[in-house]
Amino acid sequence: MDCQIFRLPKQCIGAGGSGGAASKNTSNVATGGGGGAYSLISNFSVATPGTTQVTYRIGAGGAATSISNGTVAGNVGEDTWFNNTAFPGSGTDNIYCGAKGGQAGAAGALTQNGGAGGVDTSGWGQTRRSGGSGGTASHSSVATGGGGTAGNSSMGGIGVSSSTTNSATNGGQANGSGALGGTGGTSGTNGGDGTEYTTEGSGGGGGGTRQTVNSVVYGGDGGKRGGGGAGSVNYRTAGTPSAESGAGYDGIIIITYTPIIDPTITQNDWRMYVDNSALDPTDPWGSPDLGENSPLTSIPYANDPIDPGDNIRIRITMVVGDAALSASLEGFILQYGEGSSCSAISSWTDVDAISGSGIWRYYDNASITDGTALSSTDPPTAGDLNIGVSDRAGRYVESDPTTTNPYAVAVGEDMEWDFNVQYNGNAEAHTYCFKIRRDTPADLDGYNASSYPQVDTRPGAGDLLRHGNFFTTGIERGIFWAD
Amino acid sequence: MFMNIVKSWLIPIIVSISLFLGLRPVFAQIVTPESESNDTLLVGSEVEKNAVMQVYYVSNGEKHFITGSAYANESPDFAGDYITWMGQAVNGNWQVFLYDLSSGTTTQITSSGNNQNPKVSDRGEVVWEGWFFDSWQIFNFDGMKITQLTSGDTSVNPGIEGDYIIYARKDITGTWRSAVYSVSKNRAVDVTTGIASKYPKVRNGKIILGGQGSEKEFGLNADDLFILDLIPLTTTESAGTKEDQATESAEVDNEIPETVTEDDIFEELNATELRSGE
Repeated sequence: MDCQIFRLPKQCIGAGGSGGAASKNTSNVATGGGGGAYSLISNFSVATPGTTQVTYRIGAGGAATSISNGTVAGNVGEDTWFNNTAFPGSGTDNIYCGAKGGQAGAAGALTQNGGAGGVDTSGWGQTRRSGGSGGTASHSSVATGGGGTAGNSSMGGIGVSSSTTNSATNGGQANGSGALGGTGGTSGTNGGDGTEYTTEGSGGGGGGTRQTVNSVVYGGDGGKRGGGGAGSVNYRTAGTPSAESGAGYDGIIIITYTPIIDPTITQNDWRMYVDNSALDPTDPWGSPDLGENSPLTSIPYANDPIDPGDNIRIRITMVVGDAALSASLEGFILQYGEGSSCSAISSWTDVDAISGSGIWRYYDNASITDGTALSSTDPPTAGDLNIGVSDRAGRYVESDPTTTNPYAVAVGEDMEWDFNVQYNGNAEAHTYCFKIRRDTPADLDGYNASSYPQVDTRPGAGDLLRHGNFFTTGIERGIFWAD
Repeated sequence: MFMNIVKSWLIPIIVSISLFLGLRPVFAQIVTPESESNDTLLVGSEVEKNAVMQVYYVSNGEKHFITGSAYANESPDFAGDYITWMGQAVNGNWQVFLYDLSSGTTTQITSSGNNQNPKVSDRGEVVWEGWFFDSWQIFNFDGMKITQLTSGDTSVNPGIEGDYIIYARKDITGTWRSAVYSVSKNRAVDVTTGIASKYPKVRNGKIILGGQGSEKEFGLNADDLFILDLIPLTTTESAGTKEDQATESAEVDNEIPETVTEDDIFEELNATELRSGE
């Protein structure tokens, strides 16, 4: 099992740069800032959920700039990142998330390019997109819109460029075709702010503005989040005009988590077989055959209770619940305990290794390879599995922890495993139960009452015919007819 | 003299018994199937007498053990005034028991073979899995006699409510199918196939398939068991199970004849072969 408790897709968006500003000049221009870049990582996990801390930073948008006489460039949008103390640089896995901020818009004599959008390849993520750049201003008194932020499916839209004098343009759309950029201002109006794009969490750049008023004129702010701010131009030459660019919007980190539902595993049905040195044991223990979930008791004698040195194949199923069990996810440990009420046993011991000294240990059958899947196909070929409720093959086991489950198991399906164990004790008339644990180790999520394989060892002379009755583990069993 | 006794006593008694046996299932459908007298009853098992698992119920906050044998008793289920469970009563093999709260009496229903997973209705009828001819089969105790409901394919996970008994069957190809059996009609039909059919339930008059994050609910009415609309009434799902459900729905759709009659159903859906007597 991995230690991940949540699936965490993270989206990082860099901040938008602000636009430039120009005032009290008829030939200068101002361009919009760039939109923030976008990065996405999935299935992020931490070493110790609930304890491990991560460092992140959400980039601040470029602050608006203002000027009353002359030109001033905008400010860059800051980078946004997650799980590092500094911007992680460039990468394509899910260790970090990082998205570059947009560059500042420019201001000055024509021609001026818009601020560049945050560059995808400079960031860190499994999906990376570039922010849109601000529009290019190639004629006098032009104010262009800021760039839109990038989204999951496309780069940010570019602020609209203009080569027409005294014009203002719209901002770029988020995600290329998402939330609209702000509308460019007409004479006497400010530029509009970029709109919020809630699905991708990004916004379009603000519209530019051009005005001839004796007061402050504003470019539109970048859209929420990460939109580039618009440029602003006030080309009034008399009085006290002023221009203030649109601010870039802050970046954002979006974390979407889906709790992982772990599959539950419950011990279910079982049957004991004679070891036939083949992967598929065909002879159920006892005569007549003991059925599924039928304990190997010392009564009747034909059950053939366990003698010291006997080995026995136990096929056990485990049913999966709540969520599907992926292939190669779980290994198991077989345990034994002594007592005739298996559910009441409080002391369990791992079945020992083949050469171990434990009362129960694994048996080495040279003809069968430990860990072999009980079926070479999935779903299994008819006849490969022996228990009635089985749906998927587990493995043949001579050691633990076992190799992990060979095939995926859907909710409600049983997987069948085959344990070859040997009685290495010499106690007579004792009763043992078996149960499976996870290899973490931890008990399974459940054990059905009849799910414990149960065996009696052969009674000795001292256990026979006490006052006409046979006793084992304190329970009166009747008469044991020895041959 | 003899004829008078026959006319006055024997014939009325025989007629009365016949009417009772014949009409009992009909009355059972008229009577509300849910008992509300013990909705809050709790049953369980824990290590108790003889250091083995014993079955108890809790009533008015007081725990009452209803077993105390030297062998383990576990897996209790209850409905109405009845509690059923299984105990390792015969050479370690599990046998089915029934306890009547109203009378305080225990009945051992089975006494041979291996029997497990008992479920009880509020009428005191019990269903369980019994190991029979090298596979699990479904058995029913109706208060008087035991009937084997299935044969052949492995049949497990029974449930019972009112007139209906539900269980899962697995054919030779490994395909699971759920089947529902009407006690009063003494007939069974398949509901649908797929792994969601492996653990069927009948609850509040409806068939529930799947469970544990993915459930489909099928209508089930007393009068139309054999004109079942096999389209799920509702479907709830969680991650990881959509694919299964889509497949199963398609299979179900394909099984529904356009015009449905009882005969059609039994032609299209192979009625489960029934066998009476253990």
